[in-house]
Amino acid sequence: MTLRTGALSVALLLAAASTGTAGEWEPLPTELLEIEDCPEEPGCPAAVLREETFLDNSHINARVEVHRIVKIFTPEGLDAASLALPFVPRTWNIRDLAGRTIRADGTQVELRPQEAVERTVIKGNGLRRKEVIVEMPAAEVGATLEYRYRKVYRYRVSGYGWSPQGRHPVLRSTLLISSGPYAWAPVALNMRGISKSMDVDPEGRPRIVFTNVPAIYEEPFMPPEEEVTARLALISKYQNWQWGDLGKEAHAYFDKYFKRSKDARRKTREVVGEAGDPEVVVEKLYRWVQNNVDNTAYSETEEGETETDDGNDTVDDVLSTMQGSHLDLIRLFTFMARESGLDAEVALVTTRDQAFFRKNLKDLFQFNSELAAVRLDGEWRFYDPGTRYCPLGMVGWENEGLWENALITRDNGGFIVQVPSSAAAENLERRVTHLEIAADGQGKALVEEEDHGLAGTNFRNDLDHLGDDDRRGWLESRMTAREGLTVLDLEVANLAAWSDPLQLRYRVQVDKLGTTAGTRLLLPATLVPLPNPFVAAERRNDVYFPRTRRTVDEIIVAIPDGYEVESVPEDRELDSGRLVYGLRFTPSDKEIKVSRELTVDLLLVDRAKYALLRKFFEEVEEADSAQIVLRRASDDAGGVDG
Amino acid sequence: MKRRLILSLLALHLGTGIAEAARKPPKALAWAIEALEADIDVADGAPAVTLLDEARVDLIGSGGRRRFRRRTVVKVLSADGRYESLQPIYYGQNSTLATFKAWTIRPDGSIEPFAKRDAVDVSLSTAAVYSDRRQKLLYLRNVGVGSAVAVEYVLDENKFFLQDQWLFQVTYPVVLSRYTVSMPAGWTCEARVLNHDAIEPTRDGNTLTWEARDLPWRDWEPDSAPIRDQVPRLALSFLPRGSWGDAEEFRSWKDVAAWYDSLVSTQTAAGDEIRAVVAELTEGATSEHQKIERIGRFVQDLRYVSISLGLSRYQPHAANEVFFNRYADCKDKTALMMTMLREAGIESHPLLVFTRDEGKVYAEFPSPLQFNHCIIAIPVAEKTTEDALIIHPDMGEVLVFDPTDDLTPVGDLPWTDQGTRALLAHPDHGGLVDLPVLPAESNRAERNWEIDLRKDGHATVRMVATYYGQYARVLRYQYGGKDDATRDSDLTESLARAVPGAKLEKVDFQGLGEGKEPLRIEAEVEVANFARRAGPLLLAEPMRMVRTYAPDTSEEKRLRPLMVPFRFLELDRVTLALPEGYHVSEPPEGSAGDGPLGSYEVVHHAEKSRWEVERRLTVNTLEVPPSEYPAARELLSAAHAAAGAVLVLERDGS
Repeated sequence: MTLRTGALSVALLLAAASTGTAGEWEPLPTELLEIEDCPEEPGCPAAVLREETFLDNSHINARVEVHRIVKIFTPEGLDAASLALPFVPRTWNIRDLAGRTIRADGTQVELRPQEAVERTVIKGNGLRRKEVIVEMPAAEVGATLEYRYRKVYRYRVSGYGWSPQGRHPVLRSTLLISSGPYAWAPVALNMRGISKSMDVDPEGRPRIVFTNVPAIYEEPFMPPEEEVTARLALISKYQNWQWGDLGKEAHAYFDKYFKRSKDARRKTREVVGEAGDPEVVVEKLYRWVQNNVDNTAYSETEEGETETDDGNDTVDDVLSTMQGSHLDLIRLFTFMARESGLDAEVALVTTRDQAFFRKNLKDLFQFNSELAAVRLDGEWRFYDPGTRYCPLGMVGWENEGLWENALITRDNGGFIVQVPSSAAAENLERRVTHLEIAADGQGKALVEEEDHGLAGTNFRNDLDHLGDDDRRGWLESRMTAREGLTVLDLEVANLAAWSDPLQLRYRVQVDKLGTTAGTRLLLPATLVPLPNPFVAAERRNDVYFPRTRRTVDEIIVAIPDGYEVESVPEDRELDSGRLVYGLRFTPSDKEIKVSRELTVDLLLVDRAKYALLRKFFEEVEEADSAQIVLRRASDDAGGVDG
Repeated sequence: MKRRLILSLLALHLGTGIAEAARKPPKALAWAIEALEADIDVADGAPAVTLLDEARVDLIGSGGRRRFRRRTVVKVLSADGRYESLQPIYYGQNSTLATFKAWTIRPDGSIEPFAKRDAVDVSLSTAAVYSDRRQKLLYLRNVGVGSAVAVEYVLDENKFFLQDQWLFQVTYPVVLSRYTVSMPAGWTCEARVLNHDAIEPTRDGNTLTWEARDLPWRDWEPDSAPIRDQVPRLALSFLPRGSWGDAEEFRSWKDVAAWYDSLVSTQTAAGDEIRAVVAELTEGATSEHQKIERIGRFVQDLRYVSISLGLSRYQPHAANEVFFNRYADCKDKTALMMTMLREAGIESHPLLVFTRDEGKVYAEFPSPLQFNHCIIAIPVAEKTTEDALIIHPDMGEVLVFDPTDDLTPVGDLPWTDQGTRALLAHPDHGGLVDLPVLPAESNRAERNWEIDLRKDGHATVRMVATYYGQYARVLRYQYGGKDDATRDSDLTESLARAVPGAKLEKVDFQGLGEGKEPLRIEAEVEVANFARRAGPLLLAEPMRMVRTYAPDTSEEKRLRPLMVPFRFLELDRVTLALPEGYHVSEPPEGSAGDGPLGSYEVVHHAEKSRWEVERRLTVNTLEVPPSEYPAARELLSAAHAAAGAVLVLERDGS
């Protein structure tokens, strides 16, 4: 549908309602119109002064009525006048849009709903998302916008997710709930620092009021969006299932998936051979699945597409095509481990690239992935053949738990556990750099790097589909902290040998690495400095590192002919437990050896501790930018005077 | 059971048939197979090569109706070229997508047809920019290095103008690019080939074909002049016989100017509300210039919203409607400002512009297709000293103003409008005019830095800076419209990124919101380790905190011209107070140079306890051709090296 016909259909959709609503606005209280700033965030561009949402599930078609009053304080806040109301055709629609703008001088202009345009955001591949877009008229700095609309569902909803938070601060937001037959109980998530109160309206319906809800801010190293957005999950009180019930259901499902077949059993025996030691059996199976079954999750990602269901319903399907999604590979491994006599189960997992698991939130969809769990020596261990190149005994970083994040499914229901996270030392990046510097300051270095654990996994997955040029580009993108650096060549070894460290050997050239000052040559202490990622003085979100890491560098700086060391920086040691940094210098006649290490052995840091974290990285950055001073050796020792 | 078996066998049989077909190209794809047979000789590093890019246009003969068919074959040469697995088809804006097909042709010759379920349809409207332009995005599978992608689609179009343009190339090397037009009997066309020697068409009846072959790869380069001005382009005007419907025909720039003037003039009626506001705005104004400034400010303050559906891609909305809604795009703002100026007794006209960041306007092709922006031309009766003036042979001094850019006041001109060729839409004096390029002094930065350096290497830095013209605009864009806390936080962040350990203690902006006055910034910054300690030495780079707007010349050489947004002048004076007991060892010397880009001078002055460095950098050109690039690079390299000189501070007596 083109925009033009779309506009027409929206006009028809909205016309009846709009003629009935225009001019029926209640006068706004003077105290609202007089608000000129956000009390908690002074200088905000715009604010939602009042927002009232009525979630009405008492009809056969659920309805969400939204009424919003927004004030614009600065030109940047004018974006609040561009309304975009998403909808999903055949699931829910937008109805009864009406609005007005009260100008700064108090005059009023009605929104003309016939000017609303319906646009297709995306259509195809089974997806269809649309939105109604419209501009509030006469919006200007000082104007107040008031509008309302209804979302009308085609059915009654069993649960609902709602957030009072958006791109502008909200001074007061009220949610009125009529949950119909489901009797919802609200579960508040990420509401720290947001004041809320709850009562009932005269008709006995629960009403929750939120005050001073801050806008959402983007920051580096922040948790996933789901974890920084204040939200309410409305879940039926009558849900009486326990996590164990889910475990039991899932276990029954996997049993069907594991439907035994002669071929699958034969393949298992073939792979395991004569091995009897459970550790050896697990290793053999893991290695075989990783190396032999095509993991389509990755080939599809390479094509820039989303992963789709491969249509495998049993392990036999996977074995017949020797390909499957990452879940198929995990399930196949689990099946083969069981067939080999091990106590093996599929564990449902919440991946923390999307959200963090919450045991008190009875939402089945919290679990969005799987791992294989095998009990060895009475202890459950996790395996992740679905993450390509993941070493045996480790799991993809997103599967590692901050706390309990997995449900090991059993026929009796199973239990919730934490998938352990890897220690920084396991994810070691070790580099040995031989650096030569010319008298004009140009640097050339040969670097030999080894990447262990998840560092190797991540880099392998980055590299394996790239050509030579792109691999050099990838490497340069890791070293942008050094200006003027060019990767001349790169050799990659052990790319597919995921049980060994990934090995990179590369040569780089750096223009103007050294600076001359009279007879002196000044050199940076390190080839690639560690910049401080936390330069902002304030922090609004917690700090979140995807995985732990440890980097160890040894840099051997050759002293150019005719120069001698005048001074080297002082050694530095910073140790705050889980954050460790060290920089040491050992000069000799021909070279200076620089040893540097950085360990980040944490994942989630409360924003209250941000100042400490920032200080650590400031000191690292400062230490890393230290200079070595070389001086031209005296000419007195010899020479021909003529 | 037996029935099942039969079905399975049938499926197996059909499956085999399908597999065979996949290896054998369908007849309908013969054009792509032929293109694949071409010899390829392209530069190393090209991600892909366009083997065929072919347009066939059938003019239907009624108004601007036509059928457009395009066929492309692109072969992937390296991993970067794999993005060809995404094929966009643009349509909407008076065109419908009649058919589309695509295929992946693998290196072994097997063919995978595109599955239509792998297409998504996306509106290209964004927030506050409403358009009926759409994109059908095709995701082709299994596009690896060595594969080729063939796409064919047909659009049914109804054009506003009897004109067309065809780019023979975008960036990839091209083996063959072809444009064919089939015109109704009796029609003729005028064709010009831009950015390339003339290409003679072949003729078959009233069907004409132009071809370009073996065009070299044009790699991306930072800050390049627009690619569309570097590649061969065909520009066509079709000349019908007799009556031909509603589509516009343009034979000269006067035709285009008259057409646009008529399109705008019908939208400039003023209602009572407009009259009242104009009276209020101009009350007490003592000059024509003051009236223009006040009305200009009012229009610039309107929110930018573009609603470009159908003819409103070219025609502004009625001034009264814009005034009511208080939102507008460039042409709406121009029409409203014309209306308001007229009510104030001032004549004005639209100026159609192709912004310099997008490309040039070619005089030999009179067409509205060459513009993407609209500003205003105001013949001034009173003598003015403003820089944004053109001298028109018939109209005298004409002030040029951009009512869309709220950061550029009357008298200045946004850099994207400077130095371009524009069309004055005047009923009698319409035609192309050259817009002015403001001198470097108009866009200048004057900064004074006082640095108190202490023995531990820490320093207090006080800066007083004044910015003018487009230089100020860059900073207003960056810091304007933000609350104090956000601005301070952004400044602190950018400072800390540029100079590790820097903390903003105080900052004061003056003139941030008002473009007419220069922008003045005073700041005090504490910098930990401003000078780095190296044993007994302190290493200080006095101009460490000075930023420059000089273009990026990190590339060793260029194949395309380097584009500079605007001419500018930077004047920096840094005074470093040395810590007590220290002196400068081996003081650096000053230097100066000039070249095709401009000039620089760095001067050092020494006093007993102070060190002073002055730097003057002038960039005096808007475009550096590749042949002059090495000299420009050398100049900037020398300027940066001179400004980046490190002072080695030794203890007295050592």
